[in-house]
Amino acid sequence: MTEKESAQLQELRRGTAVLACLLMLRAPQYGYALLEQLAAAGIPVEGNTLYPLLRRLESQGLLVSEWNTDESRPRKFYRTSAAGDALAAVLLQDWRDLQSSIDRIAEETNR
Amino acid sequence: MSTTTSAPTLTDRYVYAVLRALPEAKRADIDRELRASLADAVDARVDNGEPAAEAERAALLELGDPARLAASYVGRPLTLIGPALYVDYVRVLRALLLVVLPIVLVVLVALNAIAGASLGGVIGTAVTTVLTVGVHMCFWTTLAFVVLERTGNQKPLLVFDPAALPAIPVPTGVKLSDVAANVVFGLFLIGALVWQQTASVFRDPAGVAIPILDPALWGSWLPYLIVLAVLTIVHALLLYRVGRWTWSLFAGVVVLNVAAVAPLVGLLVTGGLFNPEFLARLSWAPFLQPGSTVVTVIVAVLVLSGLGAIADAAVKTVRAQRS
Repeated sequence: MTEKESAQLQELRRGTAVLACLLMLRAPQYGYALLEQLAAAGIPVEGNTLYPLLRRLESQGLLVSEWNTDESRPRKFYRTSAAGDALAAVLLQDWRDLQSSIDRIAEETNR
Repeated sequence: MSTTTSAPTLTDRYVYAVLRALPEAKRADIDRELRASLADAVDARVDNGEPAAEAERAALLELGDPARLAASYVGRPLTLIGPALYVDYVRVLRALLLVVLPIVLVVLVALNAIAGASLGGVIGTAVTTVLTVGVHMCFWTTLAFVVLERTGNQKPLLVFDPAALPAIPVPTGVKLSDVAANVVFGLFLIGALVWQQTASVFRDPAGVAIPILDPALWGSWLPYLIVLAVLTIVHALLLYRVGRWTWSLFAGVVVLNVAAVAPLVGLLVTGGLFNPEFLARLSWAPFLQPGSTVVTVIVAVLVLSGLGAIADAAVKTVRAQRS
């Protein structure tokens, strides 16, 4: 993949990071594990993007957090709030509409 | 909130660098979380077989410059002036530097010249003025816009209005004002040459006019200059008739300018231009001797304006011929 292609791909992915987090955090998770989960699911997000993003979403009320001190290493767990769920539903619907629009354009212009 | 008492590790120093760029209220929480995330990343690498030191270094590299990370955490913009205000910023700066600065410069130079400063002093003042005032303009304008940006002004200052669009300059037309200026200049030159001979303001004790230029020149150069002035008028009328600049018209400009400037410079430099009687009468002789400052300035002005006229004609001809 050339540099230009990967830049375009980043543009395409930038919008999906928020939706991916809101959906994934319906099950509570902490920072690094979420990073690995997203990468495994095919939506790699860098740490220096993800960690500030989680904080921003929390400050906007879309996530709630809780420190878990069960293990030797205390970890901050994030979970999608009710407002986050609502927004995720809206974004997901938008995402599906976009997908069908793109598919339709690809079909119709396929000569 | 590190509890380690041994020498600070790379992680400690990294976390410190991030935290010090953050407001006090956020530090404790980010400290804990960042350390936990870094420790998790290092553990994952070590489980993969990397040596501990390498893993730590790689994890820090992955997170990147602590200043950038801190800016991300706080939502701090990484620009001085954002896209919303930038266009207006450039407009203001350009207006100040291209309009206000020259005016300031002219006024200051005039004041200095009137106050009787030497030529070197005037030029020195001009240069320092341009630099000082120019730098101040850039700095304070930038500062004002940075303050606007930081206080949340995200909307452009000037709203786009189609009525205020610039007019397209006519590239190839010959302006009547240019032609008229040249004709008037030619006539004026002839008139001036005649006037200074017969009706000069400077009178000798008997009331007879003292010509400024050496009367002996009437035998050689002055009629030549009159012919050149007539040719300048003819050239201007030709230009108007043709309607656009051509290379032959440009050649005419070059010839006329060189033919006028060269002899004048030669006369000035050899001291043959001015009437000796005139010089004696006004005791201006030292100022107008060849090699004096005034003569040097006059020569420079003549040469520069000749070159300027040629350059101007060249630009107009190229533009006209290109379209």
